[in-house]
Amino acid sequence: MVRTTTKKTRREAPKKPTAARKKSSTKKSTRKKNEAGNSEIRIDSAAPSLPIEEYRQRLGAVGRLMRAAMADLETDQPGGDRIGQGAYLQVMGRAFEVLDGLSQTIDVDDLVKISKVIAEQRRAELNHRKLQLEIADEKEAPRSRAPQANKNGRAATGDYTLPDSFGEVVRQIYGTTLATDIENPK
Amino acid sequence: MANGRTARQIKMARNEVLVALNMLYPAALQAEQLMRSLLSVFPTMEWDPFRRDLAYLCEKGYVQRVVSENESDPKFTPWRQRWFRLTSAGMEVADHVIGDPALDE
Repeated sequence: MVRTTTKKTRREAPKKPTAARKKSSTKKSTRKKNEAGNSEIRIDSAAPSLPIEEYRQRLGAVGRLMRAAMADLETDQPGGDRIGQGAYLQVMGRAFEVLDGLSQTIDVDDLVKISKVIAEQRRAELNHRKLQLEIADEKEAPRSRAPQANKNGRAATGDYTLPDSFGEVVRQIYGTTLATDIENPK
Repeated sequence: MANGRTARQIKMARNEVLVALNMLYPAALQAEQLMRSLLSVFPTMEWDPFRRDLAYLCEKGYVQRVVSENESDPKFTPWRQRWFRLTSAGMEVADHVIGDPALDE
């Protein structure tokens, strides 16, 4: 009796339509792949494959569109000055995803992310330019300029010679010293 | 056979990586975007072999990684989020200007 029951259950199990079983298992594996990023799970094996020629034509069209719209944004070679490259990559990546049909819409999170990247880069670019201007000013200014006091009353950094004696230092600071001016009083 | 793939399958996948990046040149793509796009041609493609192919193409000098200034430490950027673009040598191979026996079908 027990054997019969077991056999029955085993026989009944395959009655479920094959296509439906495949479909449900594919969905599960795809979800796991996207959320957990597990590399060992096979992805969407039931999806129909696209002919290579058709795929290349589609990518070619996407590439032409992207070049026409945004090729001017790429200003720097990789490895060179990287200011602005992050925003360019983000925008190009999102454009590719939408054009290639990987995602249908651009959601608010993406827009926020891209905006933050652009804002950060704008800030970095301004700081970079400011630094370059300061460096250029330093180079142009004569090295032997006299030290000048700034608003806080502190001496500015620069090359200058120390007074000969400690008394001279005190005189420069306070205007006078306690030492007598008469060397040999009689 | 390498990791369950025949030599022909490996060559086809590597070729398509080059062709895809060539179509978008000079733009760069994230590894994940590239793989998701290639899944429409190779539905059984898996992440690990794809990553191996990408690393191989980088070592060959056909593909190069692009590091953006948003990556605080490029070493720790996950592979899926790394950006890749074609090099001039990779473009020549993708356009069949020069041949590579390891990639010719």
